Amino acid sequence: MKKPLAICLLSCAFSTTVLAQEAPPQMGRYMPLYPGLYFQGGYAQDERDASYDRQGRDRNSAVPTVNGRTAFPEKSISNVFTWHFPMFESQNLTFFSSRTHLARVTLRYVDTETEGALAAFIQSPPADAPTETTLLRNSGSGVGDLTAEFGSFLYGASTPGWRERERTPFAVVALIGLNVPFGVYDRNAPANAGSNTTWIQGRLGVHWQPWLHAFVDAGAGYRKHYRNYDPSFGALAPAVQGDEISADLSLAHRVLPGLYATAFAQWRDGDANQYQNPRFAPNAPPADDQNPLLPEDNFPTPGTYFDDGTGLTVLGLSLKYFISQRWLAALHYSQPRSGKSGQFLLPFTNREPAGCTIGTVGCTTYPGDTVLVDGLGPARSYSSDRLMLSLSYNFGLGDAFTCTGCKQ
Amino acid sequence: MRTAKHSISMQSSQGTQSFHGHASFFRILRVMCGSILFLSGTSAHAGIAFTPHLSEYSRLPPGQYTEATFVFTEIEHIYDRDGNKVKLGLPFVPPGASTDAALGLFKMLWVGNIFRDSGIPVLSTHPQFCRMIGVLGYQQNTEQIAERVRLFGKKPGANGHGDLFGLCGIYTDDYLWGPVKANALLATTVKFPVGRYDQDAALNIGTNYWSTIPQFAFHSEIFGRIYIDGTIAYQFNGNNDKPSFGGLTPTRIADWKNAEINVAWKFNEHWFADVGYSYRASVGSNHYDKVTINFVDQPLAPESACANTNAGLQNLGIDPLATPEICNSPLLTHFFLEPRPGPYSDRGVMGRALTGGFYYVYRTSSVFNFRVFYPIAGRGSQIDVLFDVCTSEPCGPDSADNISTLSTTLYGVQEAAAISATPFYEFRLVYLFWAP
Repeated sequence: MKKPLAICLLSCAFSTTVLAQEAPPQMGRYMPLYPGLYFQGGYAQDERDASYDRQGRDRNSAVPTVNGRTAFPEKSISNVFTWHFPMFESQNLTFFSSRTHLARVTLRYVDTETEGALAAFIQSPPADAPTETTLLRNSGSGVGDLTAEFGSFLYGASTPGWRERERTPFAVVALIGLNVPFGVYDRNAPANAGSNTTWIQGRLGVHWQPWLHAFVDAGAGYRKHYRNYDPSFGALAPAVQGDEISADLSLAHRVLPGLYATAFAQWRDGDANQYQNPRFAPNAPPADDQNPLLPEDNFPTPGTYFDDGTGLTVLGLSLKYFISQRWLAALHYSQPRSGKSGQFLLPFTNREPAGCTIGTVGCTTYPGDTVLVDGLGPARSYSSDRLMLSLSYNFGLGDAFTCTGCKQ
Repeated sequence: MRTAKHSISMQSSQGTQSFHGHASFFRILRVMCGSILFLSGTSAHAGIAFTPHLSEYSRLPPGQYTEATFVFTEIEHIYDRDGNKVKLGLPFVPPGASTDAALGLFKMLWVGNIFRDSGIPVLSTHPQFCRMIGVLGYQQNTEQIAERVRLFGKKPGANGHGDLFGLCGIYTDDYLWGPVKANALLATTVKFPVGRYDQDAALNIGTNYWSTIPQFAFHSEIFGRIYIDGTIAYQFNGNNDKPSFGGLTPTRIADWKNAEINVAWKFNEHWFADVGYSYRASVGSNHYDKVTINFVDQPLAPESACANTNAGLQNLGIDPLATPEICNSPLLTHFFLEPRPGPYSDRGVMGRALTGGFYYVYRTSSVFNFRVFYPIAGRGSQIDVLFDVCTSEPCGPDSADNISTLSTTLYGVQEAAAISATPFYEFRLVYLFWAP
């Protein structure tokens, strides 16, 4: 194993997946690696105590439409397994036999909670709030979603020859990804480890080494989200998250032997999120009192609502240190620079007498006030800084299989 | 709509009031109660974990092996207690409702002989194996059902980590009889109930009860082309003192007997295909001792009963079960429902299925496998639950304001009770992580 290649191996193994809590992009992430297994464990922390509103203003709360400050602090652990491998080498299959490929699985554990104004609402919902609010919970922590990816190098990783390749000045990779929603999800909680929905994505990445010890990686992708059957927190989270396009760019350079610095940028833009029949809102307006003799209440007018979409631009820095050829430690810092969260106008319907069944004799309804509410879950774009520590290990610098290419 | 058939006496806190009620009113209640519970659950974990594959029980070389299996299904049909295949949720939720489930099984297998130099008879000459199986899962009902279960303050599903399976066993010798090569094994699996379990959820990834499963299995190769793997196992199940979804998971779970066989054909060193048969049945009945399922918003008005009963019927072209005359009856103002906790017993559960799939063996390190699990017969769990109807709280059999008692048939849910009649699909990757 030649040193330049070996140095890159560990750092390149980390996921390029862009998640709600986005992982910082790694240097050489679109580079073809020597076949084998790579592992990276990461620990990330984000206070998530500030967010962007629908006009892109940085607000001092994760849920700005609720009076008082709310935060959804989150600590997460990620485990990323990446395999680089040739495929059907001896069978001369078109496309598949002539290049190397990669497969990647990401497992997560997410610890999250709700603090501040929204936590107080969960703890003690108003007496006139719907019964469902008595079932609310603070958060749903636990294992996160599983992400699986498969990629083929379109350029820069031809076979045969992968054993002898010492340097890859330029490469292009196409990736497809799938999110499997194994993550813990409590529909009564505003913050959860899992998303409860599937998405698929396609991504194209380019790797370039313009000069020695420099790594430029750039990628762009499109992600399609599928329906969430049970949107959380009274359906204030989207039933269908808007599809997203995203891009990332990084430049890494050696600072000292074994020490690399990376500057990176991430950008994403999401279509409008769809909300289906919200059932309550923490900032519900008071019910109008048309008939003082009857008690009244109100509820969100059933319907389908859309926000204006979401977006986020993040800049960041990473420092990576190769403890050995097999071990790499890294520290990443990222700071959102602009963004947009999902918010929408939610009209209420007044009802007299309170709790009556609509459509029955004596039960009257009339339009109530309209309030701006925050979309929750993936509709939030947080403006808080994020720190991540990671440790990588390379299992497979050697050829693990003595029988490679032969028959037994 | 039926006409009045009989009179009932209704007591309220204001006194006794006699009126001519409608039999259909009680039909509404009965239907309303029954309508909530057409839910299934992938009878997944143990069944899926132990369905044999190609060379599942062959005597493997010493070393460590890893395996990941992904299972996906969209359950649209389940079996009732008479063995009928019934559509999930109909007629109370619109067509298209389903239970969607994805499971990830992560298996680590070790094969070796820690007694090799000990001189202990049998053990020193026969390799042992141990395996751990971790589970991640997604199990959710679609929104039509989610909306329905919300009436009961329940959740339509759950995601997260599942129970942990641990097993150890010992191989027999290899035997050669002409063109036949065979071996057997004895093993015991313990299911540790560490999986995520929510008492409010209609579906859970964890089971909340222990299982111990002694097993005999064999592997045989004939002419080097035909591979046969089979097993019989008995599953001792512990009790679940915290049933979920309002007590519609059994508290005293019946033991299970399992028998499975798989026959594979080798086309060449890379490609294989197989077919299999799986039979699982409970030994006796499941018992339910803590039924609490009930409407979260009470008292109920007749119009609420109508709204819940008629919901979705129009989409199916079915006339409303309850007419406005009933729904708006001025004679019934409100009432309370309260289930009797039990005990109830089902008729036991059973499932038979065929499996079929193919394998691609890549080098010596990886196996890719796709398989279909196709149910051919089954019997799910149903119980007849009694509900008291009262005009005031507390409501129960001895309540002064108890006006009637209804019996309604409810489905048992989750792994121990529900039997899916819908195929599931399995994608499996075996990888020699740290190859021997």
